[in-house]
Amino acid sequence: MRNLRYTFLIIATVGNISMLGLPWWLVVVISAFVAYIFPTKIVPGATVAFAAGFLLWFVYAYSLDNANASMLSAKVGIIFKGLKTMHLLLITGFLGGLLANLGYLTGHYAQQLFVSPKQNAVK
Amino acid sequence: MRLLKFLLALVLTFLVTWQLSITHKAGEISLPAFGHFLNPFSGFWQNAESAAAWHGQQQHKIPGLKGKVEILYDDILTPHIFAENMVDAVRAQGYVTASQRLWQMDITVRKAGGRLSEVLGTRTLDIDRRARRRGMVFAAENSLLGLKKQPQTFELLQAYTDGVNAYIDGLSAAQYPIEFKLLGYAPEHWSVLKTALVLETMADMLAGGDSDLSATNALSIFGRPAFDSLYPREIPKQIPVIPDTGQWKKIRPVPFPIKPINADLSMQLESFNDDDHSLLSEGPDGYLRGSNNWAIDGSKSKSGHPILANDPHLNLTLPSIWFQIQIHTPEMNCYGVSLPGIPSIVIGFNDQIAWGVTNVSHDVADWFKISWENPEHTKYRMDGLVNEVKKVIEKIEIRGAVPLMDTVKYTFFGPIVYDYDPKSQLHDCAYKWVSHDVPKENLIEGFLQLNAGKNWNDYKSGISGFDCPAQNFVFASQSGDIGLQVQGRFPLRDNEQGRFVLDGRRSIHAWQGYIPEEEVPSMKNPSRGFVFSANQVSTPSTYPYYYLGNFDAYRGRRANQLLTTLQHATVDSFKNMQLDNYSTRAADALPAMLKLLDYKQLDADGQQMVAAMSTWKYHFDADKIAPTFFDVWWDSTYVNVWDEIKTIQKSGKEIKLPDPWRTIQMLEQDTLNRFFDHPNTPAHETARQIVTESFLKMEKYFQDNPTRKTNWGNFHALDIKHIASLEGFGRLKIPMGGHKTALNAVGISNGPSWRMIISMDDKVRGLGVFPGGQSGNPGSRFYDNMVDTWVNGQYNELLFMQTTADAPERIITKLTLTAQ
Repeated sequence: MRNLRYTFLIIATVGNISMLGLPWWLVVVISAFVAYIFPTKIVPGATVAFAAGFLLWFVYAYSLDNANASMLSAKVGIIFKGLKTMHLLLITGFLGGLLANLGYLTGHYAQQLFVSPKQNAVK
Repeated sequence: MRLLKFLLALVLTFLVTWQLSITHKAGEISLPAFGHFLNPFSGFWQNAESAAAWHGQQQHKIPGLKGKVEILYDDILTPHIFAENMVDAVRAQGYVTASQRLWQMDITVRKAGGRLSEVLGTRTLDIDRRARRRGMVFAAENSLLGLKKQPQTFELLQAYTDGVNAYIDGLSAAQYPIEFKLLGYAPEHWSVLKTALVLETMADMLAGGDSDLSATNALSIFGRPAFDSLYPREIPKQIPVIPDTGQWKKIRPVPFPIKPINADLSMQLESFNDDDHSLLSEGPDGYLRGSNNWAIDGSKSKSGHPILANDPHLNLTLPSIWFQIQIHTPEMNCYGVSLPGIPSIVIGFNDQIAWGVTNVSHDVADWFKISWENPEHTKYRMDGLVNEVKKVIEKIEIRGAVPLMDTVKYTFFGPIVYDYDPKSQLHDCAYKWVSHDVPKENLIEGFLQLNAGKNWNDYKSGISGFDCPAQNFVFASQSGDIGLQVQGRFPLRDNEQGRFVLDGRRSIHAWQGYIPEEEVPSMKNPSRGFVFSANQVSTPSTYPYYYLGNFDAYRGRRANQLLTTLQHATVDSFKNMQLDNYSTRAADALPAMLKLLDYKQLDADGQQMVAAMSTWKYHFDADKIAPTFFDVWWDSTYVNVWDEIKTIQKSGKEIKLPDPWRTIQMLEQDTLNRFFDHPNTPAHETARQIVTESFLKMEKYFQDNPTRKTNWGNFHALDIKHIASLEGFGRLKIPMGGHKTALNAVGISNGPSWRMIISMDDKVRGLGVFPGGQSGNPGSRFYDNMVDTWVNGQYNELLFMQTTADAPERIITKLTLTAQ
C-alpha cells in the first residue's frame, strides 16, 4: 500500500519537472523508475500510475486553461471538428495517464527480471 | 518469459511515445504530433495566455544593444519604443515584432520564397514552384543589392534581423507560437534576405498582375474595332489622381525608334487550359482590391490645419497584416503601422508630417514570346543572334518526400515561368517585372527618412527610392502643406507597348528605361484644397507618357464629390467618409437597369423587389435588403451580357470580361449593341431583354435560396480568416455594410485593413483601427480585440507619446531591454 502511495505521489509531483523545459515524455521515465524502485502488484500499480499521469497532465492543463478562460481551447476545439474544452482536457489527461502507465509497465517488468518469484510478494 | 514481457512493454512504450511525437496524415488532413501538441508542459496549453499576462514590468537582455531601450505597451498592446539611438530602436522593433508575430513572419517568407512545402508537404508544391519560377527570390536578392548600397542602413537592417533572432534564441519550445506546434516545425533564424522577401510579397500582391495574355486573346478573337469598343482605355467619368494644370506641357518624351511588335499566340489558343492562373487577369471585381487616401488643407478644416486619411484595402486575415508601433529616438518620434518583417513604419505620422498610401495599379509586368533555336529550349534567337538561357536550379524541399529539382531558365527579359506546363499559352514566354530590377535606392532607408521627415522636401526625398509596388503617397504637414506623389518605377512605353504579349525576337521590345522621376505625376497644395487617390487612373490623357493598368472607376468619383463639398471638416467628417457605403456604380447602374426592365413580366414578388430598389439611395448598409436585390441582379445582368465571353473562358482561354463601367455605359447608351444578343438563340436580344431576363433569374435565385433573401449585412457577411485558414482561429460570418465600389470597401474577405485619420493640429492627433489585434497568438485577448471596434465603425485614439511618463493610465506593461 505504501509503495502504491509513493507511486502516485512521485509520478504526480516529480512529473512536473517537465515544466523546466525538459521533454514532455519524461513522465514515462519517471514512472518506469518508480515501478522499479517501489514495486507493487501489476494491476493496482499500473492503475495508480495511470491515475497519477492523468492527473499530472489534466490538472496543469486545466489550470492554464482556467487562467485563459478557455479562450484558446475553444478555438483549438473548432479545428478538431468541434471538440469542447473538456474533451481536450480529458484527451490530454488520458495521454498523460497512458504514458505513465506504459512507463510503469516497462519499469515493473524490468524489476521482475532481477527478483525471484518469492520476492515478488506484495509490499 | 519475464524478459519477453519486459521487451514487449519496452517496445510498446517506445512505439506509443514515438507515435505521439510525430505528425500524421488522415487523408488530406495533417494532424499534429499529439504528444507535442497536447502535453501541458510545452504543448498548445502553454499558448493560453493568462488574464494576468501583460502586467507589471519585465527586463530582458539582448546582445548588441548600445544603450537602454524602454518599451511601454499601451492598452491595445501597441509597443512604444524609447531608444537612445536608431540602431537600438530598430533592433527593439525586430524583437517586439517577433514576440507578437513570429509565425506570421515565418510563413510570409516561406510563401514568398517558395518554401511552404518544406513544412506543409506536397499540397503547396505548385505555389512554391510558381513563386520560384516567377523569380521572387531572384527579385529579393536583387533588392538586397539595393539595400546594401548604403552601409549605414544595412547596419539597421542587420540590427532588425538580430533583434528578431535575439527573441528566437530566447524561446523555449513551450513558447513557440501555436502554429509551429500544430504544423510540427520550429522557428528558424531571420535574415536580411527575408526582409527583402517580405517587400517582394507586397510588390507581388499589389503590382504582380497583368492582363497581357487576356488582351492578346481578346484582340485575336474579336478584332481591333470590337476590342477597342469592349476594352477602352479611358474611363470617361473618373477623376484622375493628378489633374492637368499645364505642368506637363514642357515634357518631350523620347520617341521610340522601332515600334514594338506583339507576339502571335493565336496558333496555341486551342490547347490552352489553365484555370489556376492566379498571376493573370482576374475578373473585373478581382481588381477592386484597392485603397483610399486623401488630405485637406486648412481652408477646408474647422481647425485650420490639414487632416489626412488613409485606408488600404487588402485581404483581411488574422493575424492582421499590420502591426502598430511607435518609435522614439533623439532623431525621430513616429507612430503608425509596420509590416512584420520590415523595419520602419510604413503608414503613419510624426510631430510634423503624416502620410498614407494607395496602390497606383499600373501594369509593370510584361510577357515576351521567345523564339527557340533548339528542341531543348536552351537557346533562343534575339536581334538575329543565338543566345543561351541561364539555368537556375531551384531545389524545393518537401516534407515527407524527396526534394523537387526544378530548372528555371532565365532569358534576357526574365524567367520562363510556365515551360513546365505544356498547356499554358505562356509556355514559351519570358516574364519581366519591375521588381526583378535592382532598386535604384535603398527603400528601407527611404522609409526611415520619411519616418523622421519634417516637411514636403523630406517626404519627397524619403519616398524617392520607392520603386515597387508603386504607391500614391498622400502627404500633410503641420506647417499647412498637403500633397500627393505617384511614386514608383514606371517603364517607358511606346503606345500600347506591353498591353499584349510582346515578340521577344528583338531586345528593343523590352523597356528602354523609366519615366524620369521629376516627370512622374505629383501635386502640392492645389487650389481646390484637397488631394485624394482611390486606385483610379493617375492622370488625364494629356499626360505625355503611355501607361496602362487596372484602375478603379468608382470610389475616386465619390471621394471627389464628398471632398469638393466638404467645409469646416473635422476628424468626424473623415470618419463618415471612410465609413461611407454609397456606391457610385450602383447609382449609375440601377436607374439604367430599372429603365430597361419590362415590368409586365414581373409577378407580385418581383414588383416588391422593384419597389424596394426604387427607393434605395445606393448605400450598401448592413440592415437594408435592397442592396442584396441589386447586387444579385447586377451580377446576373453582367454575366448575361457577356455570355459569349464567359463561354470562351469556359473553353479554357484566358480572356477578361469588359469592365462594369463599360457594361453600364452600354446599358445607358447602346442598348442595341450586338453583344446583348445571345448567339445561341434565334431571337435578337437587346439590353431590355437581357436586363429583364436577369431580373427573373435573380427572382428564381431567391426562390431557390430563400435564406439568401436577407439584409445586405448577412448576405455578404465578412470572413476574416486565419492566414492558414484554420477555422477556429478566424472570425467568420460578420454581418457588415459596405461594398467594394463604395469608399467603405468591405468585401466578403477583404476591406479596409487599417483605417487611419491624422489631424495635424498644434498637437497632432491620430485615430486608427485595424480588424484584428496586435498579438498573433489566438490564445491572447489581444488577438482579435479590435475586430469589434472596426466592425462598429469606431476608432482607437492613438497614444502618441512624447516621453515615457505620458498617459500612465493607458500603459499596461513595460519591457526594458539592456545589453547582454
